[in-house]
Amino acid sequence: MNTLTKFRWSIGIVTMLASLIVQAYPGESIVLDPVTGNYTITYWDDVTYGDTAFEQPSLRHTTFVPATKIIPAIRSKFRLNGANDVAYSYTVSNGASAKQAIVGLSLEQTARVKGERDFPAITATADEVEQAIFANMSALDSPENWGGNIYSARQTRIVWRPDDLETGGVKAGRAQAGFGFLSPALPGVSEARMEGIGAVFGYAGDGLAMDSAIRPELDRLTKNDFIARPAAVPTIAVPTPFDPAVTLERIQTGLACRFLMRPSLPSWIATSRLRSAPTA
Amino acid sequence: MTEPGKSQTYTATVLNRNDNQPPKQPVTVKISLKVDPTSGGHDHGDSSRPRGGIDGTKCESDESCKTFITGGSGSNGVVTFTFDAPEASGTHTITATCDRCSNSDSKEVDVKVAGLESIPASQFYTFIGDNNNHSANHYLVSEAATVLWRMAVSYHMEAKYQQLKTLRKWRRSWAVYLPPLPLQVNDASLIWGGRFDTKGNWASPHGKHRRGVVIDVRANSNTGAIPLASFANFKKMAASYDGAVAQVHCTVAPGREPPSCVSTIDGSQDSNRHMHILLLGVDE
Repeated sequence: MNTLTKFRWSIGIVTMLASLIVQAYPGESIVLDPVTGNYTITYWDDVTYGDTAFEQPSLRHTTFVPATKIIPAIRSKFRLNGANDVAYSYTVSNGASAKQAIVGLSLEQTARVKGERDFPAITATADEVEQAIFANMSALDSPENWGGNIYSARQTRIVWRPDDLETGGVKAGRAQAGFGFLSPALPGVSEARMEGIGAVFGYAGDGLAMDSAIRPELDRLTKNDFIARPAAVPTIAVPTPFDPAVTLERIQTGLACRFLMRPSLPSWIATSRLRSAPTA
Repeated sequence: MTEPGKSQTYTATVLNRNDNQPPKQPVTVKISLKVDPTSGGHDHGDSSRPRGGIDGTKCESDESCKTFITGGSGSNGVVTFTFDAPEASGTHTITATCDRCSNSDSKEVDVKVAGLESIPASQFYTFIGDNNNHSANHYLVSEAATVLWRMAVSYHMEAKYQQLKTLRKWRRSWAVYLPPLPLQVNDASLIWGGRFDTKGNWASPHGKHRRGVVIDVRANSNTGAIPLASFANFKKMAASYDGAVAQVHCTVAPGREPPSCVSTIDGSQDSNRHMHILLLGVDE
């Protein structure tokens, strides 16, 4: 008889991919009210947070009020300011039949603004943090009762908001000038995102389950809660000392990136920019 | 390492110690599964803790969970099985024994979400919410921690800038400046991520908070919480960081809906109201 006296334990690891299961939780829905323009979300609470009195899973409702009940337009201007800077300025207007005031203007993917400081490191002192953030806020021109800031994470965006979201902003049928800044970078076309006041979106409990079938649609709604318009923003950094070949190459690269990242830009922009794209 | 809720394949091989060949007769191999009760950040650990499963069989105790036969004609002595990790992170031990074997062998497996780090301390936020069930509740991936810090800085500095602007406007330099208090950051993820069972019963988790990309910030009527009047501004500020999303979560009794979570009359001024922030734009 073969006597087993040795037992060897070897491990071979094969990762198995978890299948993405989309749950069709009965009764969940997103319904647009054509009169108000709001969405009623009906969902099964993923987890009842808190009081044990509400522990049982239950079908919940919440309302998403889009911040897109605006009719925005933006006019961009730029001019040479001194020898090295371009002065950018913007006027925002809101259509007469808009239901919300415009309370947010965001310029996407901008090059550096004159006076802009790097976001301080987490090890920075309170004074260093304040100096950097205040410098960024001060680098932006803002209309009366508006304030701007520069936000940077994976990308940089410049954002203005009124001091009071409830009562401020660009109301229907009105226009607001006075947004601007200086930048050494040349202009290109990017997005100006504008939004209305909307409403603070809340969930009773913990919200939708991760595998809820309506989550992708709700994500699409909440993450695109703005209206975009093309605007001239600083995108092409000019080398110092000036080098025409490098500048042209940056313009070329900038255009390529822009069209990769902004497929939703109106077709007329894409066409005109492509026609004028220089070859370095 | 295995991710919570995922499966991985393992093999156990039975060989004759003398000739290093597989057994010529069928041999029974038993696989058992143990879990360190307090591992993975679950200080409340107890014997009821889910162990996970072997090859689709849920393991209810430390005893043998699944039995296999190997050896005999044509066999290579290999047993292949899956370890089905539970949703809660922790340290598991897979042990294989076999009839007439002189030894057993074990493999320790960490069920965890990789890459989570303790949120660095900052003057712009304070940590709350740690308790006897989970004393280490402030872990995020590095990128999410950076976004949290930047949000906290922006929240504080924009409020300060605004106040100073108002003071300048009214030429009241003598007025006392009241800086906003640091954000009170509550649950992020546990040290190894995975299911965050807030009540320590392995079953009533936060639905998300599993991968170090979301965090709760107090937004009730307590001192230092984000005040009601700042909700809209905070939400819009948060969205300025690459699509981060701040949602208000609250407790509202069924039947008092739709909840706004911002009303003082619908019961949402409760102790649980908080900003549930998707720091990287995803809720998991």
